[in-house]
Formats: sequence, structure tokens, C-alpha cells
Amino acid sequence: MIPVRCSLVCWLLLLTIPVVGRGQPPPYKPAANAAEAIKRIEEIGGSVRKAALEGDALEVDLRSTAATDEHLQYLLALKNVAVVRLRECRIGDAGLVHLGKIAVLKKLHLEKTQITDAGLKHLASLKELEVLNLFGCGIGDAGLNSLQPLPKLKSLFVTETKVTEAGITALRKTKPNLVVVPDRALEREQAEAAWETAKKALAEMDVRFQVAKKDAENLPPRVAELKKKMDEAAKKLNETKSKGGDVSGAQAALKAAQQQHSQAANAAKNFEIAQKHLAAYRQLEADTRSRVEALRTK
Amino acid sequence: MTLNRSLFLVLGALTIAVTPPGASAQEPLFERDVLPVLTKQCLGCHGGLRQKGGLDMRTMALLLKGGKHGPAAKAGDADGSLLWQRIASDEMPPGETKLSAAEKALIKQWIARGLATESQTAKDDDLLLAPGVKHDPRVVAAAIDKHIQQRLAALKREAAPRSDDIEFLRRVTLDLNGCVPTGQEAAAFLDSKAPDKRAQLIEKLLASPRFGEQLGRTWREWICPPELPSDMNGGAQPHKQAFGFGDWIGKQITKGATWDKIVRDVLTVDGQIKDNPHVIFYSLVGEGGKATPDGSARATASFFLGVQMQCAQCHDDPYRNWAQNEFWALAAFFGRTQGDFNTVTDGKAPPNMSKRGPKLPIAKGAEIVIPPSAFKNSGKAVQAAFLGGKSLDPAAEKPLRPLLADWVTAKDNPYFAKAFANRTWFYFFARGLVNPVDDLRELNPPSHPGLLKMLGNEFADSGFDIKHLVRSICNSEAYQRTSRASMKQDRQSIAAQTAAFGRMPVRVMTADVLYDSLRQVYGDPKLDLRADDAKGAAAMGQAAQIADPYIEFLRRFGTNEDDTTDFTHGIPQMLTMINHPRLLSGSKALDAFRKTNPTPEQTVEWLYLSTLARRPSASEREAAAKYLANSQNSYVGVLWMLVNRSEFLFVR
Amino acid sequence: MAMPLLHRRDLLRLSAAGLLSGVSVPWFEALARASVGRPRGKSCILLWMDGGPSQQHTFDPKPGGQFRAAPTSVPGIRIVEQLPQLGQCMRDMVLLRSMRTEINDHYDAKYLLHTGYRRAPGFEHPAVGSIASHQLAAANSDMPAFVTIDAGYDLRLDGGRSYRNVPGYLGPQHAPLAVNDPARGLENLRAAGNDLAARLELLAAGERGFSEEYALPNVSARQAAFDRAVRLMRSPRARAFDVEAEPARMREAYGNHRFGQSCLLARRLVEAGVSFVEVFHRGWDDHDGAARNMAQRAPWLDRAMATLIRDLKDRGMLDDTLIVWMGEFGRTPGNGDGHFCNAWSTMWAGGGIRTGQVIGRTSETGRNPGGTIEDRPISAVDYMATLCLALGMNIRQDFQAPGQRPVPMVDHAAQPIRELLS
Repeated sequence: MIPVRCSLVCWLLLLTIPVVGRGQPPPYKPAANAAEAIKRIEEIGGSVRKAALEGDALEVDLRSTAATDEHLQYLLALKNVAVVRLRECRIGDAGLVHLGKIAVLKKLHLEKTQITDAGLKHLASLKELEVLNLFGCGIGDAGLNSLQPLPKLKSLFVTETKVTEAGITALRKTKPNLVVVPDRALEREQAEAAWETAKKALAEMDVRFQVAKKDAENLPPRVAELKKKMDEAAKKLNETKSKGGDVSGAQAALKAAQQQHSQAANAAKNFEIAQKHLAAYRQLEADTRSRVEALRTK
Repeated sequence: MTLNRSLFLVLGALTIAVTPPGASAQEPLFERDVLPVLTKQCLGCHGGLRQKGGLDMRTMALLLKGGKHGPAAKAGDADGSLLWQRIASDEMPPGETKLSAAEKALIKQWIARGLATESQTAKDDDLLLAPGVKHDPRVVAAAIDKHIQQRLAALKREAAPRSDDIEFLRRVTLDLNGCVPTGQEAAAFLDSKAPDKRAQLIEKLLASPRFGEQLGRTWREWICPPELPSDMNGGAQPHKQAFGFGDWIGKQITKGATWDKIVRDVLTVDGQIKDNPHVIFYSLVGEGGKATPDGSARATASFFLGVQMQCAQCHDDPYRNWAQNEFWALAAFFGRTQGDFNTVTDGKAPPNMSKRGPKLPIAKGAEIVIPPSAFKNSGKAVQAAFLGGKSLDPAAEKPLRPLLADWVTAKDNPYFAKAFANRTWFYFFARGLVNPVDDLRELNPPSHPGLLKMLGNEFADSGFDIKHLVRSICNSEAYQRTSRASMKQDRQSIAAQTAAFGRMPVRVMTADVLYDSLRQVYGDPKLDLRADDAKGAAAMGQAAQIADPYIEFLRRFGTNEDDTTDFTHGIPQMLTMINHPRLLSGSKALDAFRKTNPTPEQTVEWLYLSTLARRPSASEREAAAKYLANSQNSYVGVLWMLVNRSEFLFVR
Repeated sequence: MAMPLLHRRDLLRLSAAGLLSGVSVPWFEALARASVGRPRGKSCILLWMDGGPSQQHTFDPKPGGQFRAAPTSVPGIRIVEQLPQLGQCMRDMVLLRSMRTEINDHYDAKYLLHTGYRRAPGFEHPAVGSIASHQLAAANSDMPAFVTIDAGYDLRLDGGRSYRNVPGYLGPQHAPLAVNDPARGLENLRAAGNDLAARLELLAAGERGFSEEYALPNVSARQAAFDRAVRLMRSPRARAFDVEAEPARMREAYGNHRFGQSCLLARRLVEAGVSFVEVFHRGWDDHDGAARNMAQRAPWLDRAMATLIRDLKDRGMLDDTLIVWMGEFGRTPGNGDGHFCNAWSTMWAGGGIRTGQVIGRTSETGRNPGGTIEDRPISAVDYMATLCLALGMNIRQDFQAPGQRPVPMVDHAAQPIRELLS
């Protein structure tokens, strides 16, 4: 018999909890084997799946569940746990002790958990760890120091933490190939490049805008005159045609006259469009500039 | 659409692992057991589309004829049969997927036991009723039961007990009138002591105009499924006109029109939609809002003759022995029919098919040219011919659709009566005597050959009297059995029992029936369960996406028309039922009842009768009373609970 | 052959542990005893520009074209200067510049690019989002696997009828959950009335009785669906549907445009475990030329997409989330006023694929620059196969369609773009 995951009564209890709460998870009970561990993990709302199509590595996903530190002992009953996702769980330093025992762990996601600098030293034993995500955790430069012993660490995410650029620089001294996000220097560089591009686009647009503006001021009074020119050109083309002469010159003249006329006739409309475009490009320039400024002040 | 079918396969697979399929100790039969394996594994390369090595395996005859290496199978000699040699060595099929051990064992056994076919074994099925005369419905009902009993006995299965009055009342009212019984109707039936009250109720429901309406909209739904990305009109089904078509069918039935008359009217319709709502048939089954010869042929074959010809449109059917010629010969009858959402006329030329290729030339009269969209034989001229019959004179200038209608609706047409009987059977039992319901052919034999033949005869002999057929079925014990399935019962035997019609299935209310039932219990003909920003969205130019309350309801609560037992609602439907404010904001029907100053107990009883067609149990009364004592939503909260019950949504 | 049953089995498994039924049904156990589920693979955010966006005004500018090219953060790759921030995300992006998809009709092309199959009356192919739901979603998640977000339209509504995502034969539980307005989130998610708990209690007792009397798969399926809906209402993850819960600076970063807010919602949903999100923005059928409209779209498009890529990266989610930007086809070279399926571009980002490169090449010179493909044409099925592979699916499997008809997940003729996959 499959035990009922959450009895009706407990479900109703859940309903009566007014806050957006996760309710009380089933308490930790030791799991005798992998199957039992999987069952327990599912009971607290998590899942265990293959990490990839090939191979038998596993991924344990407990994101936004009620899992607590001691529940993480279930992971020790499983073989080949390569990926663990604990985003927004009530996991603290005590949980890291258990995680530190998963020697084959490659990716560890601890976003928005309650771990601290002190706890990170428990991860030093993870010799296979490649990706560590500490987004939104209350850790700082001191914690990064504990990551020095991780030989295979490739990516580290410390956005929205207390980690400073100095801390990152220190860590990267021993790990030159480590990619750390955020990389403020790179971000600034890219934001500035984007701003440059936007400025150029705006300048180009501004030139076009000035032309359109001038056209809108100068051309409309000339519409009648240009119309006359166009009619004349058409007449000339017809004459050339009836004489059986070479029409290419007359055709080109007519085309040019037509273009001039339509430019004049549409000058007001084109100006209006150019105004809208200029506004759009100014927006683009402002967006990129504000990002540069934001990154400079950080 | 295959959820339950796949579940069935699981159950089937489990069964095979333990015992031979279906009728336990029986030998494998070609149609029932072997052909499904061949279809899955072999016919892609050795069927109507391709005949690698000259081998076509679609029929027994073709298998025996074999390919360039000789016959595929020798009766009684598996090792000497090419079919077995090739699959045993895993030489075939050539891909990564080979036959499973069970499939191999099945085929070996089938060859060894002499290539048995179901058509041989079913040949001498007794019809129980002599053809040629119309019988009393009670006599027909008894014959239906005898057929089913015989089959159950052969399968060594018991039938489920008779339904109780509550099950029967709710089921037959939903089936025949498309809505739950009112509280008053429910109480009257449950309290009646008349010994023939079930037969009386059937008569009453058949006499109501709602019977025609329900059957009409059921046919509308079959012919015009809810808009889907693949639909013939590119996701823009003409709903309004389709509703008009369903109403028209309903009115014909209410007027007492027989099925042959209705089909003749549809096939020969001419003129404007304002006078003839059934004009829409041709563009519903056509493409891009226009009638097409191939669409008309496909629909005529599927709906009126019960045969699937869609694959034969472009090439000989890889899995069925329909030839591409036969399809286009049928399409030729519609070669000159032009139709759109408003009119249908017969002109000189076929409809413009420019979207899919050049305009079709029609030599003259009853000839059609296979268009370039077909990837085989395009450009070939085909003459009109009745299915399995001889070609018409290509020079004939006579209107062709009446000729076709004559043939389709003739009493001796081999498909017409059976096709309707089979679909009607499917409507009540969620499973045809032949499945899929539009796949009548020798190699897809009925589960109850004698019964299908008998029902076809009876229907034809009654002059295609729809109510006679329905009356006969509803008065049978088979229809009146329970659908209860307690947890103590063995799942496999329940599935087998239901498949053999020894138990009624539990079906899901269609969107139409659910909407009508909700409208009735809320006393609100315009019940609106759209999101509250629907009107704003329509004003913002999204009218195509958010339509009126009824269409939106149909879109949201649409069910699986191929399998009416399939539960298809997901989170959006559930959230609508749980949280839409309208379902908690009062019922006019309840208000009207409250005007009679009932006691709280009587009100709760009325709510149960109006939704579940039964009175509350003692514990339900107690729970309701406890809820009412503490709740501000009071009675409408109880109503909310009742319409959210599984018991409400299911036709049990 | 892959059994098409996992979804059903998963559902049964849910039922078996149903909250509403409150009973355990032993026979489900045999069906439910699955080993560890399929891998999660990647999540996908499909940004669908309905109507067909112009490649020359976005990711494949040409010399002498209406929009000038500007350098990006990857040397040698240039996109239009109107998308400056996106250009700086180029290291995390791939441009597929050689799409060749054979259909210039809006509706049929939308069908093809959503399913990998041509539209055929009477047969419903599942949308790629539904396939992802079927293949990648966790069985017992309280979040839906596939969500669509209507990002509205600017300018005007054209480009023909929208494609509607359907699961076809994969079954209704793989249908998308539709968010009609990112600012409003999911309709009917909040309870009406203030006594839901009392009403559910009243309901639960009756349901238990019914499921004992009618212990049938469809009854269990309904109770499971009901449970899922209630769990979703109660789930802290359901807050993902509420963009208001996001800090103001983050909402600001994505831009006030509805498309930006839709991208932000998509990020929140993926974060909460949704496998596939389709954001569709309509009205890209620029028959009066693309330049004017594109110039106006550029600021919000650039901002929203660049922010999405950076935000996912900051959160360590970019490697697990594939972003695909596309429409049903591109636009004619030059001014972009017509439909063009012969040589057009899509943009992919993140997803752990080999980014910072361009796949395929269109002509630079000649009478009609950009009119022909000079390297690595990508057909619709190639595209679909690559997408499914990039998301971590096994594409060599067949689904069982009605009538025992095996239908490959992706047409076997597909040649996936291997140089994209690591």
C-alpha cells in the first residue's frame, strides 16, 4: 500500500493556515534504503529524477518545499546524487554538514537559504563540485574563502549576497578559470559598449530627424511647384515616346521629379514618424545610460 | 485523446503478461490479436503506402499471396513461414524497435494453430431476430440482452447487477435529454411505485423536444469538433452556423423525421443557409470555409457509412484495404458542389482549390481529377462510383448528389444502418460494437457481430426510426446495469466486463450537458463563467479569442469525443469550478424553491435532488447542517459543494 | 518504443496518494511503480513574435540595409544597432540565421513551427510546449508544466489567427495554463468567498464515499486534478504568478511594457519549476515595411530580453533555461514588407548550449542580399529536433496516436544542429 502522502486531515489543517505557509513537513524518519528515501523526499514535496538522459546520476529537487536540515539525510541513502536543488528551503548550516558527505555532488543550488559563511566550510569535502549557486544567501567574503579547497569548481553564483569584488578577486587568484557571477567589471564594460552603440544610433537618428524637420519646414510650400515639375516631366516622357526616341533619360527625370514631389507631399507625415523614432532612440540611449550609471555607483 | 485507450493498453499489456488477451484461453485470431501487431510494426513498409519486397500485409489474402520471396505464412508451420523467420531472427522490423517476446509468441502461436481469423469463427452468429420486419422494442431489448449474455458466457464473465433507480434516473435523463433531472422530477420518479416506471420514464424523455436537441448537438459535435489547430477551417470554425445545424437535426428528430430522410436532406441540400441551416455541413467538413469534394467524401464515409477513408485520399491506405481510387470515386459525387458558410449549389466546375494547387478540371459529368496535393496519382481522372460498386457513366449530366443519397440511404446499403446503430451504441456505452466507430470493415470485426447485424436490420426494417432504436437500447438490461465498481473488485475483470457490455461505464458530461445542468440548477440561462476581464479583452480587439459565455464554456470544458469516459479537465477547469465567483453568488432556482418556505432539511434535500438526483444520506444531512450553522454562504455553499462533486460531473 | 503512458501513470500515482480521496487504492500501485522519473532537462522560454519578425531589422542586418549593424560582445558578430543591450549579451546567445521552413502562410507556418509537422485536417499534433510538459515535468509538481502568457500587441493586431497550443494525443494534463494578462496573473487562482476550508471539508467527505463506490480511473483522475488545483492555490510556488511580488527595481529593469512584464513573469514561473513558458506578442506582420515599426519596438524588446538573459544569469538559471526568440517566418529582404520563409533568423540564448556563435549564413551581396542561404539551411524539423535535444529530451521515440498509429516525437528526417549542442 502506498501511504497517503498527506492525510485529509493534514490537508485541511494546511488550508486553515492563513499565511502563505508551507505547513509542517512530515518529521524526519531514517530511510532504510533508496526507495524509501525517494518516497520520503516525495512526501515533503520534492522529486528525485535522473540528472541526464544518459548515465545513472540523480537530481534531487526540493525547491520551495518544507524540507529542513535533517531531511537532507535522505540524500545520503541515494547513490550518485549529482545535482541538488534547495532553492528557498529552510536549510541552514546544519544541512550543509549532510550535503558535505555527498562526495559525487556536481551541482549544488542553495539560493535564498539560511546558510552562513560559517557553514560553507562543510562543503570543502565536495571534490567533484562544479557549480555552486549561493544567490540571495547571507554570505560574504569570509565564506568564499572556505571554497578554496574545491578543485573542480567552475561556476559560482553570488548575486545578492554580501560578497565584494575584493572577495571574488581573492578567490580567483587560486582559481583563474572560475567564472563568478556577478562580474561587475565585465558588466560595466558591456553596459558601456551598449551605451556607445545606442549613442551612435541616436546620433544617426538625430541627423535624419533634422533632415525631416527641415523638409517639413521647407518643402510643403513647394508642393504645387514640384507637382508642376512632375507633370512637365511626364509630358516630356510622353513626347519622347511618341517621337520614338530614347526614353531612358526622360524616365529618370520623371522618377526624380516624382520622388521630390512625394518627399514634399509627405514631409509632415515623415516628420511625425521621425519624431516618434527619435523618442524611441532617446529611450534606448537613456536605458543604456541609466544602466551604466547604476553599475558605476554600485 | 487516447488516454483511456492507453490505459486500456496498459491493462491489456498486464493481462498478456499473465494470460492470453481478452477471452483468456482462446486462440489468437488474425483481426483481434495479430493485425494490431502488424499495424504497429510492419504495415508502414508492407501496407497500402509501400510494399517493400512486393509484400502487402493488410489482409489475410494478401499475406497468403505474399511478396517476391513467396507467401508470408504457411498454416500450421511457423518455422517454414517467412513471417516467423524474419521476426524470430529480429531481421524484421529493421529499426531499433523489435517485436517484444509476447508479440513474437503470439504470432508464432497463431501460425502454428493454423492462421485463425475472427471472420471464420463469427460467421454463423445467430441474429436472434428475423430480418425484414420491425419488432416490438421489448423484444429487441431482450434480443440485445441475449446477444450480450452469450458473449459474456463465452468469456466466462458475469454481468454486473441492475442499476438502482437513482443511477438509472440520472443516466437516462442525461443521455436522452442532456440535462440533470430537476428536483421535482427526481423526487417524482424515486417515489413512484409503478412497476414499469423505467419504461415510462424512457417514453417521457423520448417525447420531449430535448431528446432531439440533445441528439442534434451530439451530432453537431461529432461533425464540427471544437476548434483545434488542425481543423479544416484553420481554427476558425463557424460556431453559430454549426449550432444552427445541430438545432436543425434536433428539430427534424422532434418532428419525427427518420434517419434516412435527415441524411438525404443533408446530402442533397441546395440553396441558402437562412432557409436550410444544414447547408453548413459542406463547409464544416470542407477546408478554409469552402466545400471540397474530398472533405465531403471523407465526412460522408465517416458519419453516414461508418468507414474511414481519410488515408486513402493521398494514397492507398497503408493499414486498411481502401484504395485511393475508391476514395476519389466517392469524392466525384461532390465534384460539382460549391459551398461556403452561406450557400450550397451544384455548378459546372468544382470549387476553387487554388490554395492547394491549380484549379481542378473536370472532364465532364461524373469524373474528378486527383489534385496535386495527393502525393500519389495526382492528375489521374476517376469516375464516380458507389463504394464497392461499379462506376457511373462518366458522361451523365444528371445531378450526382441525389444518386449518392439514394444509394447511401437504401435499405440494403451494407453500411448505412449499421453505421448509425454502431454510433448510437457508442453514445450510450462509450464504446462501439466496432471501434473506432467509423471503421467498419471486414478486418476490424465487431465485438458482437450478431448484435450489430441485428441492430442494423432492425433499424432499417423500422424505416430508420431513431426513437425505435434508442427505445430498444434503453429498455435493455444492458443499458440498465450499474456502473458501480467497488475497490474490492478485481480491476481487470471490471475492465473486461465493461468492454463486453456487462457493466455500464462511467462517462464524463459533455460541455453542453454540463452547461445546461449548471444553468438549470443556478436558474440562470446566461450563466457566465468567463474570467471577469473577458469583456475588457473583447473590447481590446481580442474578440476572436474570447467569445460569448456559451462558446467560452464549450471551449473550456470540452471533452474527449472519441472516449467519453476520459476525464479531460485540468487545472483551469478545476479553478473555474472552485473559485469562479458566479458559482457562489446565488441561484434563482434555489430562490424560487425557498419561496415555498421549506425547512432547512427540505432545502438541503432539494439541493441534492436537483444536482445528484438523490436525497442526502444521514451523514450528508448532518454535515450540511453543521456547515449551514457556521457559514455565511449558507445554501449556495452547499450548492457549490454539490456541483463540485465528482458525482455531479460524471454520468454514472 | 516509448510507452505513452507515463503521464497517465503519473496521474494515477497522484491519485493513489490523493488528498481528496483520502484513501489508497491498491491496484494503482502496480501501475504506479515507476523507477526514478525522466531527467528534468532544461526549461524553455519561447518568445513568439506573432506575424513574423524581420531578420534584417534584428539579427541579420545587411550592408546597405535599412538598419545599420553594430558590433556585439563577440568579435565578428554584428546585429542591428537598435538592440545595443542584447548585442552585449551575445556571449550567451546563438543566432540561427538560416531557417528555411517552406511555408509562407501565417497559420500553417505557426502550426509547423509549434509542432514540427504540417497541418493535416483531422489529426492533432501536440505543441512543443506540451511535449516538454510530457517529457520533462515532474510528475507530482504542484506547478503546471506549460504556461502561455499573452503579452498583447502594439501598433495593430494582424498576422492572422493565433495558434492555439494543444496537447493532442498526449492528453489534457499537458495543455497549457493560459495567463491572459501578466499583470493579473492566473485567473480564478484566488478563492471566492471566505469559507473555502469549510466548503472543502464538506466536499471531501462526499468525495471519499464516491471514490470508494466508483473506484475507477476517471474518477481518480478527476479527484487528482481537483487536488492539484487546490494545491496550486495553496502552494507558495503559486506566488510565482504574481509579478507584483517582485521588487520594484526588478520590474523596472524589465521595462514597463507588457512584453517586459511577461518576460519577468516567465522568469518567475521557470524559477518555480514550470518547464515551458510561451510568451506571445502579436502584430509583427509589417506589411508596410519593418523599419518604422521595428524602431519603435526596439527599446522595449532590447530592454526586456537583455534583462531576461542577465537576470537568469545572475540567478544561476541561465544554463538550465533555454530562451528562444522567433516568429512563424521572417520577412522579405530589404524593407521587410512581405512574408519570407526561405532564409530567416531565430535567436536562442542560455540553455547550456554553445553560445556566442552564429549558425548558418545568408548572402551578403548580389541583387538581393539576404535572399538566399549560403550555409547550413535549417528546416522546421531540424529546428524542432535541435530544440527538443537542447531541452534534454530523447528525440528518437514514438508516441502512440489514436488508431495505434506511432508518431515520432520529431520527424525522423530531422538533422539536429550538432554544433549547437555541447
